[in-house]
Amino acid sequence: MSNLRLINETTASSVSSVDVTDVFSADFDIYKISVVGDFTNTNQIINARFINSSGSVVTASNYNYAILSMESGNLFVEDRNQNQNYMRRMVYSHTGVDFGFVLYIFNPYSSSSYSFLLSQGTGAPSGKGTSNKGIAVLKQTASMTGIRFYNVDFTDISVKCYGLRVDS
Amino acid sequence: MAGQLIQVDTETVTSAVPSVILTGINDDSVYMLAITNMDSSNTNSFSYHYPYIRFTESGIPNTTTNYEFAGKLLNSGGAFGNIANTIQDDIQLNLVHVGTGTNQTVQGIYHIYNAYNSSEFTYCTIEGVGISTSSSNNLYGGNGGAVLKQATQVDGVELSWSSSETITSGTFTLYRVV
Repeated sequence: MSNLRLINETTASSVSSVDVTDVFSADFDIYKISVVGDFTNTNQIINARFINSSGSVVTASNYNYAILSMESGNLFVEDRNQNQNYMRRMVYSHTGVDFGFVLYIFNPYSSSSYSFLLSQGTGAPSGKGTSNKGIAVLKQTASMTGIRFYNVDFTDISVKCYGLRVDS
Repeated sequence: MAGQLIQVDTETVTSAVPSVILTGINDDSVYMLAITNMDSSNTNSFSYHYPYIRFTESGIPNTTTNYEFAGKLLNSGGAFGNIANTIQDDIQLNLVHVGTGTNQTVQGIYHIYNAYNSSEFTYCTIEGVGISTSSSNNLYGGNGGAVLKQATQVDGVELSWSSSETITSGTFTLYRVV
Protein backbone atom coordinates (compact mmCIF):
# COMPACT_ATOMS: atom_id res chain seq x y z
CA MET A 1 0.00 0.00 0.00
CA SER A 2 1.29 3.41 -0.91
CA ASN A 3 2.46 5.67 1.90
CA LEU A 4 1.02 8.58 -0.09
CA ARG A 5 -2.55 8.53 1.19
CA LEU A 6 -5.31 10.47 -0.52
CA ILE A 7 -7.19 12.28 2.25
CA ASN A 8 -9.56 14.52 0.37
CA GLU A 9 -10.48 15.74 -3.10
CA THR A 10 -12.26 19.06 -3.38
CA THR A 11 -13.67 20.39 -6.63
CA ALA A 12 -15.55 23.61 -7.25
CA SER A 13 -16.78 25.82 -10.07
CA SER A 14 -17.52 29.54 -10.30
CA VAL A 15 -16.20 30.43 -6.84
CA SER A 16 -13.87 33.13 -5.56
CA SER A 17 -12.22 30.98 -2.92
CA VAL A 18 -11.88 27.33 -2.02
CA ASP A 19 -11.62 26.02 1.52
CA VAL A 20 -10.09 22.59 2.00
CA THR A 21 -11.18 21.73 5.52
CA ASP A 22 -10.54 19.01 8.07
CA VAL A 23 -7.65 17.48 6.16
CA PHE A 24 -4.73 18.02 8.57
CA SER A 25 -4.70 15.73 11.57
CA ALA A 26 -2.44 13.87 13.95
CA ASP A 27 -2.18 11.06 11.40
CA PHE A 28 0.42 12.86 9.27
CA ASP A 29 3.19 15.44 9.71
CA ILE A 30 3.70 16.17 6.00
CA TYR A 31 1.03 16.77 3.36
CA LYS A 32 1.18 17.04 -0.41
CA ILE A 33 -1.49 19.14 -2.07
CA SER A 34 -1.89 19.20 -5.85
CA VAL A 35 -4.12 21.79 -7.47
CA VAL A 36 -5.24 22.35 -11.06
CA GLY A 37 -7.83 24.72 -12.46
CA ASP A 38 -8.67 27.85 -14.35
CA PHE A 39 -9.88 31.35 -13.48
CA THR A 40 -11.41 34.37 -15.18
CA ASN A 41 -8.95 37.06 -14.08
CA THR A 42 -6.31 38.83 -16.11
CA ASN A 43 -2.77 38.00 -15.00
CA GLN A 44 -3.51 37.18 -11.40
CA ILE A 45 -1.92 35.23 -8.56
CA ILE A 46 -3.51 32.72 -6.21
CA ASN A 47 -2.82 33.23 -2.50
CA ALA A 48 -3.44 30.99 0.50
CA ARG A 49 -4.22 31.11 4.19
CA PHE A 50 -4.42 28.35 6.75
CA ILE A 51 -7.64 27.40 8.53
CA ASN A 52 -7.27 26.70 12.23
CA SER A 53 -8.83 23.98 14.35
CA SER A 54 -11.74 26.28 15.20
CA GLY A 55 -12.56 26.51 11.52
CA SER A 56 -11.41 30.12 11.23
CA VAL A 57 -9.26 31.39 8.40
CA VAL A 58 -6.02 32.70 9.91
CA THR A 59 -5.62 36.35 8.95
CA ALA A 60 -3.09 37.36 11.60
CA SER A 61 0.07 39.00 10.31
CA ASN A 62 2.24 36.00 11.11
CA TYR A 63 3.06 34.77 7.62
CA ASN A 64 6.44 35.09 5.93
CA TYR A 65 7.01 34.07 2.32
CA ALA A 66 9.66 34.05 -0.39
CA ILE A 67 8.97 33.03 -3.98
CA LEU A 68 11.10 33.09 -7.09
CA SER A 69 8.94 33.63 -10.19
CA MET A 70 10.56 32.60 -13.48
CA GLU A 71 9.03 33.74 -16.75
CA SER A 72 9.84 32.41 -20.21
CA GLY A 73 10.29 36.00 -21.35
CA ASN A 74 13.40 36.10 -19.12
CA LEU A 75 11.78 37.97 -16.26
CA PHE A 76 12.77 36.73 -12.81
CA VAL A 77 10.93 38.20 -9.84
CA GLU A 78 11.83 37.86 -6.15
CA ASP A 79 8.50 38.04 -4.35
CA ARG A 80 9.12 38.21 -0.60
CA ASN A 81 7.69 39.71 2.54
CA GLN A 82 7.33 39.23 6.28
CA ASN A 83 4.61 39.61 8.89
CA GLN A 84 1.87 39.42 6.29
CA ASN A 85 -1.68 38.12 6.69
CA TYR A 86 -1.46 35.63 3.83
CA MET A 87 0.87 33.40 1.84
CA ARG A 88 1.42 34.82 -1.61
CA ARG A 89 1.73 33.45 -5.12
CA MET A 90 0.93 29.75 -5.09
CA VAL A 91 0.84 30.30 -8.85
CA TYR A 92 0.60 33.15 -11.36
CA SER A 93 -1.56 32.70 -14.46
CA HIS A 94 -4.24 34.18 -16.68
CA THR A 95 -7.85 33.64 -17.67
CA GLY A 96 -8.51 30.67 -19.88
CA VAL A 97 -5.01 29.17 -19.85
CA ASP A 98 -5.25 27.04 -16.72
CA PHE A 99 -2.71 26.60 -13.93
CA GLY A 100 -1.24 23.94 -11.69
CA PHE A 101 0.69 23.91 -8.45
CA VAL A 102 1.94 21.50 -5.81
CA LEU A 103 2.51 22.22 -2.14
CA TYR A 104 4.24 20.33 0.62
CA ILE A 105 3.04 21.41 4.07
CA PHE A 106 4.90 20.50 7.24
CA ASN A 107 3.55 20.24 10.81
CA PRO A 108 0.24 22.05 10.24
CA TYR A 109 -1.62 20.13 12.90
CA SER A 110 1.10 20.44 15.53
CA SER A 111 0.39 22.96 18.26
CA SER A 112 4.07 23.13 19.17
CA SER A 113 5.61 23.83 15.75
CA TYR A 114 5.27 26.45 13.06
CA SER A 115 3.50 25.43 9.84
CA PHE A 116 5.92 25.47 6.90
CA LEU A 117 5.12 25.28 3.20
CA LEU A 118 7.03 24.51 -0.01
CA SER A 119 5.37 25.55 -3.27
CA GLN A 120 5.94 25.13 -6.97
CA GLY A 121 3.53 26.16 -9.67
CA THR A 122 3.17 26.95 -13.33
CA GLY A 123 0.85 29.15 -15.38
CA ALA A 124 0.89 31.51 -18.36
CA PRO A 125 0.31 35.18 -17.50
CA SER A 126 0.64 37.59 -20.43
CA GLY A 127 0.97 34.60 -22.73
CA LYS A 128 4.31 33.63 -21.22
CA GLY A 129 4.95 30.36 -19.48
CA THR A 130 5.78 31.19 -15.88
CA SER A 131 6.82 28.94 -13.04
CA ASN A 132 7.45 29.66 -9.40
CA LYS A 133 9.28 28.01 -6.52
CA GLY A 134 8.58 29.26 -3.05
CA ILE A 135 8.51 28.85 0.70
CA ALA A 136 6.23 30.16 3.42
CA VAL A 137 5.62 29.86 7.12
CA LEU A 138 2.86 30.61 9.55
CA LYS A 139 4.70 31.63 12.71
CA GLN A 140 2.08 30.40 15.11
CA THR A 141 2.33 27.36 17.34
CA ALA A 142 -1.30 26.49 16.77
CA SER A 143 -3.12 23.60 15.20
CA MET A 144 -4.21 24.04 11.58
CA THR A 145 -6.74 21.73 9.97
CA GLY A 146 -7.18 23.17 6.49
CA ILE A 147 -6.19 25.73 3.88
CA ARG A 148 -7.93 28.38 1.77
CA PHE A 149 -7.01 29.33 -1.79
CA TYR A 150 -8.30 32.71 -2.96
CA ASN A 151 -7.69 35.99 -4.79
CA VAL A 152 -9.15 34.92 -8.15
CA ASP A 153 -12.53 33.97 -9.59
CA PHE A 154 -12.15 30.28 -10.22
CA THR A 155 -13.88 28.83 -13.25
CA ASP A 156 -12.95 25.36 -12.06
CA ILE A 157 -10.59 24.08 -9.42
CA SER A 158 -9.59 20.60 -8.25
CA VAL A 159 -7.60 20.13 -5.06
CA LYS A 160 -6.19 16.77 -3.98
CA CYS A 161 -4.74 16.49 -0.50
CA TYR A 162 -2.45 13.60 0.40
CA GLY A 163 -0.75 12.64 3.65
CA LEU A 164 2.76 11.19 3.71
CA ARG A 165 2.28 8.21 5.97
CA VAL A 166 5.13 7.19 8.28
CA ASP A 167 4.94 3.62 9.58
CA SER A 168 7.08 3.22 12.68
CA MET B 1 -0.34 3.52 -10.32
CA ALA B 2 2.58 5.86 -10.84
CA GLY B 3 3.45 8.35 -8.14
CA GLN B 4 3.09 6.07 -5.17
CA LEU B 5 5.49 6.19 -2.25
CA ILE B 6 6.73 3.07 -0.51
CA GLN B 7 8.47 3.62 2.81
CA VAL B 8 11.87 1.94 2.98
CA ASP B 9 13.24 3.39 6.23
CA THR B 10 12.35 5.92 8.89
CA GLU B 11 13.65 7.27 12.16
CA THR B 12 11.99 9.60 14.62
CA VAL B 13 14.47 11.19 16.99
CA THR B 14 13.25 11.96 20.49
CA SER B 15 16.58 11.90 22.34
CA ALA B 16 19.93 13.15 21.14
CA VAL B 17 21.86 11.19 18.52
CA PRO B 18 25.02 12.21 16.64
CA SER B 19 23.44 11.51 13.26
CA VAL B 20 20.63 9.64 11.53
CA ILE B 21 21.33 6.99 8.92
CA LEU B 22 18.56 5.70 6.68
CA THR B 23 19.21 2.80 4.34
CA GLY B 24 17.16 0.59 2.05
CA ILE B 25 17.99 1.93 -1.39
CA ASN B 26 18.26 -1.32 -3.28
CA ASP B 27 17.16 -0.68 -6.85
CA ASP B 28 17.27 1.92 -9.62
CA SER B 29 14.07 3.67 -8.56
CA VAL B 30 13.89 7.35 -7.68
CA TYR B 31 13.87 7.78 -3.90
CA MET B 32 12.42 10.62 -1.85
CA LEU B 33 13.67 11.78 1.53
CA ALA B 34 11.19 13.71 3.70
CA ILE B 35 12.34 15.59 6.79
CA THR B 36 10.35 17.50 9.35
CA ASN B 37 11.22 19.22 12.63
CA MET B 38 14.97 18.51 12.52
CA ASP B 39 16.46 20.27 15.54
CA SER B 40 19.71 20.22 17.47
CA SER B 41 21.22 20.49 20.92
CA ASN B 42 22.27 24.07 20.21
CA THR B 43 19.70 26.39 21.82
CA ASN B 44 21.52 29.68 21.33
CA SER B 45 18.78 32.01 20.11
CA PHE B 46 21.15 34.15 18.10
CA SER B 47 23.35 31.55 16.45
CA TYR B 48 22.95 29.38 13.39
CA HIS B 49 24.13 26.08 11.98
CA TYR B 50 23.98 23.94 8.87
CA PRO B 51 22.19 20.64 8.40
CA TYR B 52 24.15 18.19 6.26
CA ILE B 53 23.47 15.12 4.17
CA ARG B 54 25.90 12.49 2.97
CA PHE B 55 25.20 9.35 0.97
CA THR B 56 26.03 5.95 2.42
CA GLU B 57 27.59 2.85 0.93
CA SER B 58 26.73 -0.35 2.77
CA GLY B 59 25.45 1.91 5.52
CA ILE B 60 28.74 3.81 5.87
CA PRO B 61 28.76 7.55 5.07
CA ASN B 62 30.85 8.53 2.06
CA THR B 63 33.16 11.26 3.40
CA THR B 64 35.15 11.92 0.25
CA THR B 65 35.27 15.42 -1.20
CA ASN B 66 33.28 14.41 -4.26
CA TYR B 67 30.12 16.34 -3.43
CA GLU B 68 28.94 19.44 -5.28
CA PHE B 69 25.81 21.50 -4.85
CA ALA B 70 24.18 24.65 -6.20
CA GLY B 71 20.88 26.43 -5.90
CA LYS B 72 18.90 29.50 -5.02
CA LEU B 73 18.57 30.90 -1.53
CA LEU B 74 15.02 32.11 -0.87
CA ASN B 75 14.81 34.75 1.85
CA SER B 76 11.64 36.45 3.11
CA GLY B 77 13.60 39.42 4.44
CA GLY B 78 16.24 40.19 1.83
CA ALA B 79 17.61 39.63 -1.64
CA PHE B 80 17.77 36.07 -2.88
CA GLY B 81 21.23 34.63 -3.41
CA ASN B 82 23.05 31.95 -5.32
CA ILE B 83 24.68 29.09 -3.43
CA ALA B 84 27.36 26.98 -5.11
CA ASN B 85 30.16 24.77 -3.86
CA THR B 86 32.49 22.12 -5.26
CA ILE B 87 34.92 19.67 -3.67
CA GLN B 88 32.82 19.25 -0.55
CA ASP B 89 32.73 16.32 1.86
CA ASP B 90 28.98 16.75 2.40
CA ILE B 91 25.96 18.61 1.07
CA GLN B 92 24.34 21.54 2.84
CA LEU B 93 20.91 20.01 3.20
CA ASN B 94 18.95 23.22 2.70
CA LEU B 95 21.76 25.03 0.88
CA VAL B 96 21.62 27.56 3.70
CA HIS B 97 21.86 27.73 7.46
CA VAL B 98 19.01 27.75 9.93
CA GLY B 99 18.82 29.38 13.32
CA THR B 100 19.37 27.50 16.54
CA GLY B 101 16.49 29.00 18.51
CA THR B 102 13.04 27.70 19.28
CA ASN B 103 11.01 26.60 16.23
CA GLN B 104 14.00 27.13 13.96
CA THR B 105 13.83 23.61 12.61
CA VAL B 106 14.48 22.07 9.20
CA GLN B 107 11.90 20.63 6.84
CA GLY B 108 12.34 19.51 3.29
CA ILE B 109 11.76 17.16 0.38
CA TYR B 110 14.75 15.69 -1.46
CA HIS B 111 14.56 13.40 -4.51
CA ILE B 112 17.49 11.04 -5.11
CA TYR B 113 18.46 9.67 -8.52
CA ASN B 114 20.79 6.91 -9.79
CA ALA B 115 21.86 6.08 -6.25
CA TYR B 116 21.99 2.30 -6.54
CA ASN B 117 23.57 2.28 -10.00
CA SER B 118 27.28 1.70 -9.38
CA SER B 119 28.22 3.07 -12.78
CA GLU B 120 26.50 6.44 -12.34
CA PHE B 121 26.88 9.51 -10.17
CA THR B 122 24.20 10.00 -7.48
CA TYR B 123 22.08 13.13 -7.81
CA CYS B 124 19.53 14.77 -5.57
CA THR B 125 17.18 17.73 -5.76
CA ILE B 126 16.83 20.02 -2.77
CA GLU B 127 13.71 21.80 -1.56
CA GLY B 128 14.14 22.86 2.04
CA VAL B 129 12.80 25.47 4.42
CA GLY B 130 13.66 26.83 7.86
CA ILE B 131 14.15 30.06 9.76
CA SER B 132 17.36 31.99 10.16
CA THR B 133 18.74 33.35 13.41
CA SER B 134 16.49 35.05 15.92
CA SER B 135 18.18 38.37 15.22
CA SER B 136 16.55 38.49 11.79
CA ASN B 137 13.96 35.72 12.06
CA ASN B 138 13.74 35.57 8.27
CA LEU B 139 12.26 32.61 6.51
CA TYR B 140 15.08 30.85 4.67
CA GLY B 141 14.93 28.11 2.09
CA GLY B 142 17.00 26.45 -0.58
CA ASN B 143 15.96 25.25 -4.01
CA GLY B 144 18.59 23.45 -6.00
CA GLY B 145 20.47 20.23 -6.47
CA ALA B 146 23.55 18.26 -5.57
CA VAL B 147 25.68 15.43 -6.87
CA LEU B 148 28.07 12.84 -5.53
CA LYS B 149 30.55 12.73 -8.39
CA GLN B 150 31.54 9.17 -7.77
CA ALA B 151 30.29 6.11 -9.63
CA THR B 152 29.41 4.05 -6.60
CA GLN B 153 26.51 2.07 -5.22
CA VAL B 154 24.66 4.23 -2.68
CA ASP B 155 22.25 2.53 -0.30
CA GLY B 156 21.13 5.39 1.93
CA VAL B 157 21.72 8.77 3.53
CA GLU B 158 23.22 10.23 6.68
CA LEU B 159 21.80 13.41 8.23
CA SER B 160 23.77 15.49 10.71
CA TRP B 161 24.48 19.00 11.96
CA SER B 162 27.57 21.15 11.66
CA SER B 163 29.93 21.58 14.59
CA SER B 164 29.30 18.07 15.90
CA GLU B 165 25.96 19.05 17.40
CA THR B 166 23.56 16.25 18.12
CA ILE B 167 20.16 15.81 16.53
CA THR B 168 17.57 16.15 19.27
CA SER B 169 14.36 15.85 17.28
CA GLY B 170 13.01 15.21 13.84
CA THR B 171 11.32 12.64 11.67
CA PHE B 172 13.35 11.37 8.74
CA THR B 173 11.72 9.06 6.19
CA LEU B 174 13.05 7.53 3.00
CA TYR B 175 10.49 6.49 0.36
CA ARG B 176 10.82 4.65 -2.93
CA VAL B 177 8.89 6.41 -5.71
CA VAL B 178 7.04 3.84 -7.81
